[in-house]
Amino acid sequence: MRKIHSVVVVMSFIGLWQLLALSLSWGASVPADSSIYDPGKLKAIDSSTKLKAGDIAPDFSLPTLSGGPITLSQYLNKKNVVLSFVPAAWTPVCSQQWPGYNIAKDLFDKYDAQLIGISVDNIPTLHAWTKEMGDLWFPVASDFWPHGAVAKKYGILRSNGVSERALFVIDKKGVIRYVDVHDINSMPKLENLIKELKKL
Amino acid sequence: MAQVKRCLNQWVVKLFLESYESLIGANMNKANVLMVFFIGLMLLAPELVTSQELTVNSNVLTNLKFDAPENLADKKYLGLHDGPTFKLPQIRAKFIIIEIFSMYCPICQRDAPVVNELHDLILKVPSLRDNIKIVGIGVGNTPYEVSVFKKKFNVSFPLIADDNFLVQKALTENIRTPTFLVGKLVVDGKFKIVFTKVGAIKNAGEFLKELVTVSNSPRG
Repeated sequence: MRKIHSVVVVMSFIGLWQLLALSLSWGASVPADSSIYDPGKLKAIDSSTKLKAGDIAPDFSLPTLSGGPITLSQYLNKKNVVLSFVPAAWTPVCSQQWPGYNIAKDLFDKYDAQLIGISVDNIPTLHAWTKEMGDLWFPVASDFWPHGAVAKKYGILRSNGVSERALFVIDKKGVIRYVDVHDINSMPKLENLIKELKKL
Repeated sequence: MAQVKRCLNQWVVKLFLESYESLIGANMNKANVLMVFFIGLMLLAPELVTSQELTVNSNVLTNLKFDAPENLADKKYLGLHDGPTFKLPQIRAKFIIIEIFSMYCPICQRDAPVVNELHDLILKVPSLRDNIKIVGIGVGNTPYEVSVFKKKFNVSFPLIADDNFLVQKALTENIRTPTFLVGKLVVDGKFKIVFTKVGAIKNAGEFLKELVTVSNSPRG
């Protein structure tokens, strides 16, 4: 009986140890981007915008994470604007693009530019997603309803309902100065955007 | 000021010596040695799992050519000769901590002060300073993007741009940032990876202790 007892004790110790090791290993082996969904390689561009440099930027008004709506025309004669459309929350490239801009505030300030992030996700999703990025200094707007209406207006709504990864640089007069409808699978280079801001 | 620095040095060295002793089990009776062994096993088990999820091909990594840093201080720190490119084993150190990061990665951004602290800890101890060098590889980043990260977080060790995802060639899995690889120089021009960690360091002192342990173990 005593023998069985000690075997049970030893076994439960081993069990506990394994449980501990396992729980710790989950903690330790969690991927750096554990919540990120990998959509695989996608068609680079799945829309065709008619907008080009020199056109007047279509005005819009969208709800933002901070509550109040944001309207493009509110920046007329005040600030240059960079619209950063990203396809979807919780996907690999998108989850890094805005955090990158988040540490480049100085550069946007230098060229008197207001960055606005836009995605077709709804506000609660954007809230949870951007919380992972830390505190963002720029407004994040939700183009959820009517679904993707602003993306559609800008000619960058893909056939599956998400937007392209696109950048629009708009000057203080409301004129589009630069359009980059980017390969959805890759990150636009920061210096290319800054170079365009420098030209304003 | 110098005295404070010396005190800090001594404290760090003492910390290492203590960690060695507990691992080697010097001056301990049998029960204590067993206990240390089991605690060590418990602590090591998850680390082995972590290491298993990342397979690094040291040979491929050894042969990758990166653009040399332009900054003279960075070049001097790494002990690189003139030349537009360099290979990692050319870095003059016994151990190289390679941080694979991205300017765009929020986890890397949050971990940046911790990695800076790790670098400061290494610089404070002469024996570590002369033997361990840190280099960051900005995967998918241009030199411009790497410089934004360096400036934002006051990174004092060299950051190298890897715009073409070269470092991915040495890994069988998709890179997750940050990832830390520690290479040990085995012979001139060759090194092997002795330690890997995927994800943030979170605690610079603990990471360094772990590193010193590995560097002194036979597998290191």
